[in-house]
Amino acid sequence: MERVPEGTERTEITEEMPQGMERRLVLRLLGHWRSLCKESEYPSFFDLDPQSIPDIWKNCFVLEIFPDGSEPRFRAMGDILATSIDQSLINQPISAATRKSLPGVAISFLDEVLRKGVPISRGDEYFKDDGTKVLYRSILLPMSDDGETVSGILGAVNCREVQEG
Amino acid sequence: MISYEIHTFRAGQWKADSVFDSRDIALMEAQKIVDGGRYSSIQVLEETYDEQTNKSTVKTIFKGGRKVDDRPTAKSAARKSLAPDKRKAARPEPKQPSRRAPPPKKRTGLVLPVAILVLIAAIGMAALIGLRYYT
Repeated sequence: MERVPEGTERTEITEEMPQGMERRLVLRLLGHWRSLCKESEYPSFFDLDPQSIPDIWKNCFVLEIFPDGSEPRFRAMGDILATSIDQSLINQPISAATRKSLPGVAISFLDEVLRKGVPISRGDEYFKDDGTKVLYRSILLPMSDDGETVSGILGAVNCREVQEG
Repeated sequence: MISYEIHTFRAGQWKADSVFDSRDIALMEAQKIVDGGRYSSIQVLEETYDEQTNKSTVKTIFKGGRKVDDRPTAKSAARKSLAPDKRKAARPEPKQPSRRAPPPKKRTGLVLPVAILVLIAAIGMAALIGLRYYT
């Protein structure tokens, strides 16, 4: 993690983020994912229609998981996420996402999701190059073409910047 | 590191549903699942992992839905303890149905209607022939 410039005032965030849009985004997507599951273990991308979740989709992304274990790749990304990075990650491997970017931090627990096979939501913080603290919360949701084997990930991440100094 | 896992009781066993790092979010989601009524029972487990000792402690912080008694009952435990042979003997033999002569099949009442139809057709034919002969 990059060091914060000297003289920057540190603001200790003791409370969790307010129950506003940030939490509701991941839970709304989780609710939508549950509605797509129906009787299956996992929903299919075939049933996913970004136009039905326009507000949520802006913060979403899709990963393709390959059965041979090769590195997952980004296949789709919402507008807000896409504009938060310098270069497009579409069709790029996940290693192309830097750790100090929203897509990069959002997939930090991908291995855990693939190991457990259940939706996982985590929040944390990171510092941008200019020292701005970014608080984020993301969720990764397993998807499947056959309803049993995870063949993709639907993810979402939202954030709030904390200006310091 | 602390994680909160939601587990649902389905098909006779507890299964992991989702994982969160926030207690509030986990409890909020668990309550939503309870209100949805899809699963009979839900619980939230708090797992605390100690990196120094590489050990985890788990405790239940929420239970919702119907009470689930997944402990073995005295009956099922007794059944399991019996040897296979004894288990077979203990189970009452199903009654064999008594063999009776099958009842005679009733003839379907098709003969009479067909005979009537043939008679009507014959009368009709005769009438047609008669009309042609006399006109």
